Amino acid sequence: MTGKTQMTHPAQPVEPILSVDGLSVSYGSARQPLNVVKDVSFDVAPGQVLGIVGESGSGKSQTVLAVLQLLAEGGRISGGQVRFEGAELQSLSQRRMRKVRGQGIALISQDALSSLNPSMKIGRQMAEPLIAYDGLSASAARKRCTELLELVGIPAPAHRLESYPHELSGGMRQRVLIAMAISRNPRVLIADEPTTALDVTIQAQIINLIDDLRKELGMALVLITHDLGVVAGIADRISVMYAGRIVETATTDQIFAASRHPYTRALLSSIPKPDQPRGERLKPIPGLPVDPREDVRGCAFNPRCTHALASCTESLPAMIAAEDDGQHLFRCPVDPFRPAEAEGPRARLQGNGGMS
Amino acid sequence: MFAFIIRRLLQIIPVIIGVTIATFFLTWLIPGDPTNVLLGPGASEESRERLRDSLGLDQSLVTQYLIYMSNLLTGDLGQSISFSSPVSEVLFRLMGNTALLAGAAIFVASVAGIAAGTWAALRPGSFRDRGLTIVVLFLNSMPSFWLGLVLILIFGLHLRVLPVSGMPDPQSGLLTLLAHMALPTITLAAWSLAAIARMTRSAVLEVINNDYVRTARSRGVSEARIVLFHALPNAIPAVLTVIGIQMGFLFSGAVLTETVFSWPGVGLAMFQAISSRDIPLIQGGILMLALIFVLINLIVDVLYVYFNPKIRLN
Repeated sequence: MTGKTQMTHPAQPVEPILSVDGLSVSYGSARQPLNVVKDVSFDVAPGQVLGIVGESGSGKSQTVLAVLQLLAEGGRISGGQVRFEGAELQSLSQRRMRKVRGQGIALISQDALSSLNPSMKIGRQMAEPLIAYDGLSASAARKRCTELLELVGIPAPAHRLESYPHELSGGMRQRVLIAMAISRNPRVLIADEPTTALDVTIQAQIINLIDDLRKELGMALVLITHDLGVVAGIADRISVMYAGRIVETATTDQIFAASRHPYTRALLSSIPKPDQPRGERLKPIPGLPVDPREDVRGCAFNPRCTHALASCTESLPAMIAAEDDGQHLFRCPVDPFRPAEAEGPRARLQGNGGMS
Repeated sequence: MFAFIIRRLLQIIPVIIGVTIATFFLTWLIPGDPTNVLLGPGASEESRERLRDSLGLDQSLVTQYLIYMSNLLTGDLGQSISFSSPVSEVLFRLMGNTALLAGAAIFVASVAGIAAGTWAALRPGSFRDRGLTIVVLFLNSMPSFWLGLVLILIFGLHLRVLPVSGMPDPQSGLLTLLAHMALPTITLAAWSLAAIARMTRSAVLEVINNDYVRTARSRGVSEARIVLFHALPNAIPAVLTVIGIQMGFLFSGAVLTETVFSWPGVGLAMFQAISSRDIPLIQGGILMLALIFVLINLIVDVLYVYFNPKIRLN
């Protein structure tokens, strides 16, 4: 079952497995907080794929680290709540939270080299929680790790268990990281920019691998990326983040065909398209991303927005529903991309960015 | 690996040449006529002349050095004046006692230092972290002979619980030996303990924020396992370097500590050799301490490679 066909019939309410509601993350003192995530909400249903897209520094990674309560020193959840399978994660004890990590929600991080322990053989670090917590014997864990490496497409897996991380190629390391993430049968897989450090040809392989594993193991997937092209082929829904806030959230089709927020539009037009005429340049977004230390009044995108009005600098725009079904929400009072007349679904933009 | 060790062993040769030249000329600079010490101030000029002749003291300094070096090649370090036996024999006999003390001290300093440093690093900025910083500063600023005297005052004179001097004969058993070792070991270990604790703290703090620690956490691995299997093994190479340097210092630090506690080791013998102008023993002792320093560094380098598989490959 692919989520996509399901999304065209959105009326079917599925109990979300992971639900983030009004999440805010701050660093620094309570008097002078640095707010890196502001009032972020999203739901992920079992088996569903959510893409979270935004530039670096937009708070994507901080959001998922907050979900797992793995924020760096000095970071804290300053508002909102995270529910996993009905349980509110912030109220869990350290011990119960540890059970959620790995077994409930697993993380694939972006830089596979720094994410693997350089002084531990692959086999040993893969097997560690399996032996320590899941009661597997050393030989059973070894067998399981060999199977996992085979599953993620690593040749001669038994041999690779004896390797150190630096002895593997970048793509291979990312596969090991994926194998480690799925080793304890998580229900939700969070992939934080899993392909950023890889060659383009390997990128597609890794994304497809993650999606195949998701289908095979029935996991929900949260895929974080700065590249709309990466999520285009596999996400059911996409949330676009800018400066710590979600500015638009919709089904993948709606984002590509009828996005309403100027930032989403700008992101889309910066993707190279195969049918683009030769010589035509990509349209970069003017200006720089917001410095989180700087408190922009109103809409954080207004300094870079070509459609901004005076009102954009005064108050934070509310989330507006694009249609009655509530599936497509965006945060823009100007709404420059409102469909001119009631028309049918617009032709889908060719937005796959060479991924498919 | 084998070639690496051989190469490092060959590097010892220039070190020996450098150390012997330095000590040879430094001892030559010590004021006073050696024949005065050997024969006493009342000796006749004639007998002094005979002694100078037999010891080669009438030769030029360079010739003396070359004679010394050619004797060294045959393992002859000369004759100790105060012990009236070959220097190599004296050093060999006393080395075990010094090694015992230094070994105990580095063991105590490493175990306690790594434990304290890790413990502090787990809560940076906390009460215990600041507490450790103060203790480290305290131990670092205290001269070892002074610490030794204070310990003797407290445990030997006031509390009367520990022996303060000498080394028991082997028949009196392990417990007596350990009791005699306690105060000199603590004295000798204090400075190194502080250095090791400080290094461990910063090394653990450096690795604990690494991505792979987060990976382990994200898989549900407990904090205890993270410290033990992820943070410490990656922090150890930096700590090992400090332990190696400290071990070299310990052998030289033994001179003061052994003197304060009358521990019959190379250090005490060298102290006495300096007071009695026993030049062959001073030279031999310094040469041996330098050799130990170099060998320990070699061992540390080998361990360093062992703990860091990336170097192992290259």
